Amino acid sequence: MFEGMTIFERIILESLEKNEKTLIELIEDTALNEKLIFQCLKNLAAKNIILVQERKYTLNYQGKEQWSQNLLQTDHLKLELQELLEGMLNVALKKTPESLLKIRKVHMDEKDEMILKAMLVNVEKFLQDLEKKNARSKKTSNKKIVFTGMAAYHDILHCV
Amino acid sequence: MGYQKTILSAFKQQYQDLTFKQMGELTGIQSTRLFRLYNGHEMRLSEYEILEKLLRSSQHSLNRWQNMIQEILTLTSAQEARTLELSLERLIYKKRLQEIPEVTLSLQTTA
Repeated sequence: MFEGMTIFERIILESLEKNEKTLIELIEDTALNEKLIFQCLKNLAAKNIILVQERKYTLNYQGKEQWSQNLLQTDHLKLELQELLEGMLNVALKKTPESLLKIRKVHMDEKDEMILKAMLVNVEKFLQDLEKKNARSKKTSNKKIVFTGMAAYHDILHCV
Repeated sequence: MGYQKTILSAFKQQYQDLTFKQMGELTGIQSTRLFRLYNGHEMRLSEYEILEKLLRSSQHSLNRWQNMIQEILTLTSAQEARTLELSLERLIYKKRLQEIPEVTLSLQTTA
C-alpha cells in the first residue's frame, strides 16, 4: 500500500481537521470531484486515517499517533513538497492573474542578507497571524499557498 | 483475418486500460468502428497502418524506458534509487486516484 499522501488526500485531511463532514460538504470545501474524493476517502479509511460515522467522515484522532508516523517520513514529505512546487510551477506557467512565482539569483553582502532575512521574518509573522484568524467558515480550497526561502547556490549544487 | 486478430490482440494488450472512447481519441478511429472491429468486422488498410504505427512507437518507447531504468540503477546511490522508486510509486498512485472509472474496455476478439 502507498504510504505517502497526495495533495488530494492532504486537502481532505485539512478539511476534516476543521470539522467532520459529509461527502457533499467535502466536495464543496475541497473543490475536488466526487469520484476522486470517494476514492481518496476509501484509501484513507483503509489506512485507518479517517472514520465514517452516520455518513459523516471524521479524522481518526485515536489512531493518529500510528498513522501520522508514516506521513512524517522525510522521503514522503519531500515528495509531497515537490508535488506542491511542481503544481505551483504549472500554475505559474499558465500565466493566470492569480499565479505568482518569482526566483532570483543575486549576490548579497552580509548587510543585504540581514535586510532580506528581516523582511522574510516579517512575511512569516504576517502569515502566522493569518493562520490564527478564524477561517473555519472559509473553503479549504480557497487558501493561498505561499513559499518563501533562500539558499546558497553552492549548497544547492551539492544537493541535486 | 489472422493478422487482424493478432494486431487487435497486441493493441488490447498494450492499451488494456483504455476505454473504446479513449482508444478512439488515440487512434483517430471512431469508437463504434473500433467496437465493430473487435467484434469481427474486417479492418481497412488505413486502420491496420494506424494501429501498427502506434504499436511500433509504443514498443520503441518501452525499450527506451527499460534502457533508462537499467542505466539509472547503475548510476545512482541506493538512496537516490529509493527516492526515484517512491516518486514513481507516488505518480502511479496519483494517476490511479484520478482515473475516472468509465465503462472499462472489455474486448472480445472473434475466433
